[in-house]
Amino acid sequence: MKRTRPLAGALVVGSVLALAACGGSSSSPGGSAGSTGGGKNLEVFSWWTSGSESAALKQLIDAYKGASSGAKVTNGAVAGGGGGNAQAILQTRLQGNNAPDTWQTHPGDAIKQYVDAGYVTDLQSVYAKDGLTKVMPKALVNAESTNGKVYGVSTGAHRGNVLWFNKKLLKAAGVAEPRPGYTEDQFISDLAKLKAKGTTPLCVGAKDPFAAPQLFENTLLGTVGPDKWNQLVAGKLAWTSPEVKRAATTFTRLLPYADSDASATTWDQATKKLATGDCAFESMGDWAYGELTKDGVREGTDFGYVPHPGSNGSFVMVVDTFVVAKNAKHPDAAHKWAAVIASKAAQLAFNKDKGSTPVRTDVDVSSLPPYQRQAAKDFRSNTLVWSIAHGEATSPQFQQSFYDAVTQFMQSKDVNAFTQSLSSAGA
Amino acid sequence: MRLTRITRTGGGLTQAPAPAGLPGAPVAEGAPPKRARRQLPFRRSRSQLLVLAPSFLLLGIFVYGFIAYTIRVSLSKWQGVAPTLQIEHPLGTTFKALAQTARFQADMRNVVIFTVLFLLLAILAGLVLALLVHDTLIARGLFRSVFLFPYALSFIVTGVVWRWIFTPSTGANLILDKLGIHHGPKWITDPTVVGDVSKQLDAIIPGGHFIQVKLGIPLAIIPVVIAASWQLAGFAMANFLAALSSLDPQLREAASLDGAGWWQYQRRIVVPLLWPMMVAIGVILAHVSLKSFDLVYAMSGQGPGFATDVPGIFVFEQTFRALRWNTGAAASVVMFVLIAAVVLPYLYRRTVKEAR
Repeated sequence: MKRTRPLAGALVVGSVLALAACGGSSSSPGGSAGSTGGGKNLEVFSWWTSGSESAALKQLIDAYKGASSGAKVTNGAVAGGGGGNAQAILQTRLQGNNAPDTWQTHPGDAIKQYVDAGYVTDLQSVYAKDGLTKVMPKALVNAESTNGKVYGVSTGAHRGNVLWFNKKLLKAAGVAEPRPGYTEDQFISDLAKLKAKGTTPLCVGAKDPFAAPQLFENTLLGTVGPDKWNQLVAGKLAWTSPEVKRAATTFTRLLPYADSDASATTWDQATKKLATGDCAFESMGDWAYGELTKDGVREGTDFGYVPHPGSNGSFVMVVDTFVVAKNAKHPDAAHKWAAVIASKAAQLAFNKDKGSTPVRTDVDVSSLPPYQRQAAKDFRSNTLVWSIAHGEATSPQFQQSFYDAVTQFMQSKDVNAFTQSLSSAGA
Repeated sequence: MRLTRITRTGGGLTQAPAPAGLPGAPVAEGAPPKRARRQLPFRRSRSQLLVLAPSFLLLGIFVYGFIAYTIRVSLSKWQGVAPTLQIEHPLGTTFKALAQTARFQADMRNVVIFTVLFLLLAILAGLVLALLVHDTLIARGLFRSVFLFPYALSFIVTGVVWRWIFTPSTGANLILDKLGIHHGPKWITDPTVVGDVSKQLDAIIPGGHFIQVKLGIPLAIIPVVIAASWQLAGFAMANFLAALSSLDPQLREAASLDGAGWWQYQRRIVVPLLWPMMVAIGVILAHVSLKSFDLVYAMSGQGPGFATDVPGIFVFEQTFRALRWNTGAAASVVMFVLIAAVVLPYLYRRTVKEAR
């Protein structure tokens, strides 16, 4: 009897650990996804699973299959907006030396982290062969490069700083339609007019962690302009400087006009509200365009768009990029993939479905809808800056702290504490 | 005598009505019936150890191994994609920074408030339902199933639907509006924290301004408590029903002979006899609550000003979004300690003390 006690004790400890571990161990994310087994399957790893995303991905895969006969592709897409889940699985596979041949990531710090850790190979040969550096913006190629070598091929650029508006609501409230050159002050006075009419002036999908930071980011760009923006993200201008404080103050002036349901609304619900006439404005990246047309409203008659107030002439880039694994199982196929997705035809087909802009500046976009033609024109002529809210401009660590700081700021409205927390956010 | 017998039956029944995969199962595992142990001591049978060996091995690797690894990571410098287990100096820097993070302080406040309110509501609702269903003469099986059904739903489904209900301008407030209440509660969008005691606590805690959030009850968490209780009250009810059916019917006769009415019988006889079951359910629900993620994530997310944020969401975002593996692991370790603090004393009493 007595001898069984230690065993019983062990069982007790075992049970409690088993219970606790269900929520406890974060370092053991679930197994690998997608088959990696044999054959000449090129494995493409992404987080494109929603309707327009997977349609766009299929365009790339079809283009690749068309270019290399008999090729097969394993589509290792992992669901989850923003790639949180995909990131978890990719991380496990990289550590297990079981990398996919090619995977989706962002330019900037995200690529650099893979380069520094030695997971990806450079794509100099792809760029040299097709002269890609000449037909892609310098800011983009730089963000994909480390030590003079380029490591990623981008598929398309979304624009982050777009202000969408419901034309009928503006007209009913007697508000003139915003035109490029719209200022923050005009914006705030228009919001006030709408509110006086009983219309919800501004939709924010704050249930999604990125949406409020997106609004702040656009306000920041509208206040400080692209040059100071680049100094900020490069660490050459302090987050506690007066310009940032001014942007933060403007942001607090916008908040009273936000939909009172904001924190229970996702970005796509917020966009739908704009479509159905439940709110007049939304500051959101141009993935909202696909959502609006899906909701059955028409560009020009029902809704319009303008660069976010004060940010005319700047284009906030939200870009997806593919990298090739250093120890890819099919290195030749992976290089081929990189070359194909950079081709003019694949760029056009992909972006038509995705709603973004081809990153190649020599693609003929005349077959795209009016909004996308305008975005392509701006992409080729505007000052390009990288998004903070979507992780291109800074490290993922900073990005998360940026989100958390904005969430707290929306309640505290304490400008000094906010800029202080941004300046210590990189740690 | 009767009481102790019911106690044990009650506890043992924890697993009886529960569907497969219930977190309750391992609890009962730790307490094999006394008689069986006496007949088959492990030392007499090597084959038994052999049979157990695979599960011990798997448990050892996938539970203890990873717990140890998580603790190890929480002490490391690991941030970013390249893993490093290099130890941080001074040791525990991550934990110290974590304690000073406003968001994590809010998470700790939320999870404690959530757990307390959720336990009270779910157990009370489960008990009331069980007493009603048990005393119902017709369609008892139907009612039992109806109340148990929410438990079969995924937390994500519950979360999304309850988010619609508790969105101020589109949900429950429309009904209130019809009833003449025109400015209903702000539900999950309400950033208010009532009963803030952080100033008083800050005065006690040495080292000046440590608490950066309001320590009180965030109103936005109450709708989440309601949704969670709606889902798990049926589970509590099923367990109470099992315990109720093991009560001797003669108890009721004896009580009524002594002149006890329905209410007196329930309050003075049934509830005390159900107490052990209540503790068992409380422990199971508490650990569900402490590690909650999916329901909150789907229903309110982090909420306005982190009013509904929980440690589970914090761990996920720090680890997989921010790639701060050490911070995520440290927060996991804190969650682990919290859960152990609830479960360990219970298991200790159930197994070690009762074996004596």
